Amino acid sequence: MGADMLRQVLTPDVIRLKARATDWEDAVRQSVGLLQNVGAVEPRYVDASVQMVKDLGAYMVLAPGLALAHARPEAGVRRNCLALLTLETPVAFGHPENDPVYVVFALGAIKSDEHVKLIADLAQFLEREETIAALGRAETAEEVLALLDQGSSR
Amino acid sequence: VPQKRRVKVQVICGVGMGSSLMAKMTIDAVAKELGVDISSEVGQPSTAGLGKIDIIATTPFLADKLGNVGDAKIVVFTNFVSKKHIRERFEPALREVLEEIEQGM
Repeated sequence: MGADMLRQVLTPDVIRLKARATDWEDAVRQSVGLLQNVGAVEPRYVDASVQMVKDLGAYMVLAPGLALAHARPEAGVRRNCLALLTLETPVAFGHPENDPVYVVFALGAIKSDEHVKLIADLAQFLEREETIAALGRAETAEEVLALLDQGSSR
Repeated sequence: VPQKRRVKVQVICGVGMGSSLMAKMTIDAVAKELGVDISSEVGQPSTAGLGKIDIIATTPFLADKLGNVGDAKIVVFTNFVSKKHIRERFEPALREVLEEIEQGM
C-alpha cells in the first residue's frame, strides 16, 4: 500500500467539504482549525499559519487550486497531522498563476520519519493530475478516502 | 560517462518541511530517471546557498529573499506537485551544471 500514512492521518474528523470561506485568511483559519479541534495543534498554530502567508506571500499555494497551510513545528504542533478543507467558492491567495484556491490542506509536522512518509504519500497523491479537481467535487469524506485508496493502488 | 562529482541541490521554502520536501522528492525521482547523481536537501531562505550548492529550487515568492547564493543557479517552480512542471524547469539547469562539471569549472 502506497498511502498508509496519509490514510492513517486523514480521518473523517479532519475533513470538511464545500465549506464557505470569505477570503484566504478565513480558509487558512478553518483548515488549520480542523487540526486544533482534534487537539493535534495548539490554538496559536492557527495564527502562526496565517502569519506565514502574511510574511512570505502565497508560496504555500502549490498548484492551480491547491494550498498547503502550515507553519513551523515549534509554533504549536503536537503531532504529525493533516486536514482537508474544500471550498464551495474558491478564494484568491495572491498567487500569480495558481489562484483561485478551492482545496486547502493544513499540515502540522514534527521532523521525523513519519513526517517524511506523510509528505511522500501526499506528493504521490497530488501528482495525479485529476486529484485536485476530484477533491473539489467530493461531497462526502467517504469519497475522499476512496480517492486516497485509488491513488495508492495504481 | 561517469560524473566527476555529485550535483548539489537545495530546495527552499518557508519552513523546509512541506512544499520543499515534496519538491525535493520529485527532484530526486527526476534525477534518477535522467541517471544523474545528485544530493539534495531542503532549507529555509536563511540557509540558502550554504555549502557550495549548484542549484537552488524555490518559489517565486522566495526567489528574491535568498540573499547571496554564490554561483548557484536558481530554478523557480510555480507548481510543486507536478512532476512534469518540475522536470521542465529543473532539467535544463541540471544539464548546464553537468556540462560545467565536465569542463572542470
